[in-house]
Amino acid sequence: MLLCKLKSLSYLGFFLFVLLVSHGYSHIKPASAAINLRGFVEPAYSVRFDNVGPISDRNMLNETRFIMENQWYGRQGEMLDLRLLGAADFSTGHSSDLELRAASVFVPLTTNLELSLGRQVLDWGPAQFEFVNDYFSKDFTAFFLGRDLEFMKAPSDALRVRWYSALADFDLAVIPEFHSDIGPAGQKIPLVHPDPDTGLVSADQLRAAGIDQTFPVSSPERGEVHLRISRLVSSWETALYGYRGHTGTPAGYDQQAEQFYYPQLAAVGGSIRGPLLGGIFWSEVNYEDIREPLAGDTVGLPPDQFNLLVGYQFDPSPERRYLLQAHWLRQLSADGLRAALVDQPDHPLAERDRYRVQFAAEQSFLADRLTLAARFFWGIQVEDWHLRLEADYQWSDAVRFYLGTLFYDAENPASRFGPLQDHDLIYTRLRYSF
Amino acid sequence: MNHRCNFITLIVALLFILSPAVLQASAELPAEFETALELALESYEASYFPGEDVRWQVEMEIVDSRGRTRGRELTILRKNLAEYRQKYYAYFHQPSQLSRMVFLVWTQAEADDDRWLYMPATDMVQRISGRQKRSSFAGSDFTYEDMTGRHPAQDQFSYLGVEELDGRQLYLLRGEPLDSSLVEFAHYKMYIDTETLLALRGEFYDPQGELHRTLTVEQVEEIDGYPTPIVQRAKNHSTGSETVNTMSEIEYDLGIPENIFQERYLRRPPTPWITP
Repeated sequence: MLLCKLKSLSYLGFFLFVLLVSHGYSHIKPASAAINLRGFVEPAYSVRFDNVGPISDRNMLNETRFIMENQWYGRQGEMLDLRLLGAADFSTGHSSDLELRAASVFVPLTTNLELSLGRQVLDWGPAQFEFVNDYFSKDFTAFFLGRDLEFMKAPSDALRVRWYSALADFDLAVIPEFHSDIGPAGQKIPLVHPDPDTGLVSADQLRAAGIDQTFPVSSPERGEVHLRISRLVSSWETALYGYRGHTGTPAGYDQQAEQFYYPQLAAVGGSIRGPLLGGIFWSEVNYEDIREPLAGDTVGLPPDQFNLLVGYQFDPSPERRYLLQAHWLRQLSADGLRAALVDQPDHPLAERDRYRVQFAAEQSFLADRLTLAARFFWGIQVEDWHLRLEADYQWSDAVRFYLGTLFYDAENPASRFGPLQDHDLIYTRLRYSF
Repeated sequence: MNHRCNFITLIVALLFILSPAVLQASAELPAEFETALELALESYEASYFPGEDVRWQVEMEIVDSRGRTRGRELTILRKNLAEYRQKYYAYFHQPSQLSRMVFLVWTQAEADDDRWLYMPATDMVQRISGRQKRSSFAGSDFTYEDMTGRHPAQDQFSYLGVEELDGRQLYLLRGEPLDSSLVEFAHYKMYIDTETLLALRGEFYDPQGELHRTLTVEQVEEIDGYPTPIVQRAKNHSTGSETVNTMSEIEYDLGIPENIFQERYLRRPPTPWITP
């Protein structure tokens, strides 16, 4: 039985869709005379190698996802974008979900001014799998459980305005209702108990301890503003960023209320990306200001932080590609925090400077039908790492098969890959595109 | 000892004089071209630079060595700029998994291209290395460089004479890359139509001298006054796969503005120049 529910419908985008088609933009025509629905159906299965840890279930994914999408275009460049996701989860009984991944209208108001409104997937910044200046919502569970990486980007209900000028391009995204990242919730991936001696726990264990671990994924009272100012200088893409909102993860913990929350955050940054020595080089810098009075003084809050990331990708042959990326994070004004952690030298926030590196290699075979990819993440100070291996085989234009394994290890459960230290898994997906 | 050295020198000199390359290079160049490079350059212009701009549809059929086929349908826009610079915008309609994918390429005569790729599924704009021009275009047997042209200044040419192919008279050039580290071939032969100067056939040889890849133009039509390839075939002799590109709806000199060749138009096509 498929129980469908429409979740978080982008009412405004849908309203505009109806309005535009029925009134002033009645000349908008579909992309083709026939219904031009496209999409895919994708059964996916992933299973852990063992069942140690607070979560005993080895089955991580046993689901089928389908996407249906269509776009309509107007003569003046207008675009209506609809993308529907359906998911049937067979791992914990039979549950199903129907969600709008995109329901937005794009309108060029003038030659240089564009507006898009409604549910849309937003992202920016050149870094790969490290989100320095990109504060749009992410679904990390998709990344950790073996789903396609396209599901890692969660959609946002946003108003986006872009203004193109001779000086620079201005891109403003306003999200009236804050959406957090989607991370471990104690169901399939354990949580870190606020008490460092307790370690990892399941959602049931945390609930039994009387700790509220229900992270609100959105809040109508709180919004976000994202800004990007970009310019192409010769072959180099340069950009400045600004953000005002909240941390994507519930990084704050109120010890009195025994409740996690999303601390207020403001950030500014910059990036460049361009060709260098036959490859592509990129860099991002960023300053994060945790706008909470006790930030940097208590373990229950992340400190202000400076980020510097550099990356380089090069193709030694047409079939092979390598990527190297390094990320430096420095705590600012966090002496109090480090003093509080003096007895916990392995805690991820105990070091003033932290470094993360990422290495990726990709090789294609059989005229690009088969691709083998490896990606390795390593947190040098916190001693955690994650290895992703994937084979992607295109049987035909319609049928594609994926087989992969994910390995994790961590010294400290509170580090990035700490909750996944016992979650090594193998996954497979079969996609039929139509 | 001295006699022996003179004898070896004589043999080496004779081998050099009688080598096929030198024999072929000794063919007399037609009077209208001062050098083989000039002939290659004019063919490059005729093949890749007709008109101020152009829009065309491509149906691509890729057949692997086991006879399995894959298809692509795309619209390409091209704008010519000064000093052999060009901008390309390629929008994929089919297959479904590539639908709405866009390649944006800015080419320069003697420098690396600037290339962007938009993947709609992940909504990512990737920057692709412009140096690796010999990589496959969308999984086909055509390379990026086949689609946008290889500037003759990257090669050294020798003129080998005139040959007849399918009833047409063709100039035959032999090209050798100046920097062989950037390409997979050791040399190539290019067959150029003596009337239109279109390159109608290219044969690429690997370092062992084996024929590695063949490009052929199988049909040419005059459109808006420009001789235009309609059917092209790329065959990879190493893998046994081949790709046939069939062009249609070709229109020259439409007045396509340069400002549509920007990242701005990757996430949505520049209507009306592209009709999704």
